Amino acid sequence: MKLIKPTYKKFSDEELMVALGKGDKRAFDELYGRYDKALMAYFMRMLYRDRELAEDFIHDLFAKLIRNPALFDTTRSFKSWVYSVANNMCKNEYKKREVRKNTSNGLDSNYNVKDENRGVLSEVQDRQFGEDFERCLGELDEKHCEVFTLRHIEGLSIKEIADILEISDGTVKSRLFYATKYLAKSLEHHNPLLTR
Amino acid sequence: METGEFDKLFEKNYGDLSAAEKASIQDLVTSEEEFEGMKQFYAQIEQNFASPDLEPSPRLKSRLDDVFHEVYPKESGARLWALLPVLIPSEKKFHQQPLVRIAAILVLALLLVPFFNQKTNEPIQHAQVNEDKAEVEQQDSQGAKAANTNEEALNEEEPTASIPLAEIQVPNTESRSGRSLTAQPGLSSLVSSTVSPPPSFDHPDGVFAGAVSDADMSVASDEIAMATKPKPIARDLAILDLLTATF
Repeated sequence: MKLIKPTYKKFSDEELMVALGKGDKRAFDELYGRYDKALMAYFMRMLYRDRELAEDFIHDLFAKLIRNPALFDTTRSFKSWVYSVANNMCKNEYKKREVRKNTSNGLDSNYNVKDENRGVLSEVQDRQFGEDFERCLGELDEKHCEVFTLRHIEGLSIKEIADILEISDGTVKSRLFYATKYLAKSLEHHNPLLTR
Repeated sequence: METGEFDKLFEKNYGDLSAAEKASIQDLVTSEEEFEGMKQFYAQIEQNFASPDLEPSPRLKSRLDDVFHEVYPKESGARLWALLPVLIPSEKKFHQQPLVRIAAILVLALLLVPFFNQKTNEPIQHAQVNEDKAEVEQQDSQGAKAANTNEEALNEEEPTASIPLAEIQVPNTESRSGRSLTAQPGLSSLVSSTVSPPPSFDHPDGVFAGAVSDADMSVASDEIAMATKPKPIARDLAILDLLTATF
């Protein structure tokens, strides 16, 4: 019989937020453990691969949660909410810098390649594809770029993206359609099968 | 698949798509060849831009812990209250909660304690009986000594034949088995020392009583009184054991 068993792993994100608001340290530790890596990767992509800046943004985001847990609307999905806050923080950073680096959207072709046993030629091709992709993505306007990034890089659903950006599902879908079509056309030379 | 996640359709084969699904992606692809190209495009994105395994530094967590303790300072009873969700988790049923199980174990233990105490008391009772036996034997030996001195005094006055009584026939007080009772050595010596049965006397009870002086009677009565005074049940049991031991 287990007398003491951690049960926070079974809590939903929203339940953990409620517990955090009551001063439950373990709830905070669990919530942090669930989102630290994902947010780190997101901020690294969005903030020009600046690790220190990314950690500062994570600190500011969670500190905001601790100091004012009432900011979170418990009727919403926590995941959507936290990405929404992160997205707004990045936009504010862009405005501060007043420069959007088109050459780098945080996408690095040196990211993990899933199949590490592929040949050198494949790696060169992948690297070339990554560079061209980055360039083409930078050519898109911000609203299409962020939708495409959240969908295909962060792995969020249409509904979650709509929640984060506070737009409708149909708008997300149409923007995604446009971004996909544009990128596919721009990179068709990498794929002999892709024809118009 | 959620509504609108058209890119998920590119995980299937073109031939497996329904007419409605094909219609939903017709703005992107119009033929099977274009479908395969787009499929390749998504695979390349996923392959090249898989989420890197980036972990924040431990220092970040410690900074956040400081912020947390600043906002929610530790209270003296905080640890005890922190145990409550562990002992009484709301997501578990009543009988599965740890506190209920602990209470049930304590109740069982309390119920079993008298049972074990009863078992432990039995050896104590036996020890008490043994002590009583020793006490009785000691008193008998003291009575025998006193009786011996009286016997010597009697022998000096009237040299009568003191027949040691091996058995005292007491038909009315037979044991349940019907056997005759044999007096304990102490009593027999006491009786023999104070009684000299006349050879011709035949008492119906089988108890032979001879002529005894008043002084001897008083001594004997005192000693008999001591020997026959009410004893605790344990002592009676001891005597019974001794009485029945010779059968």
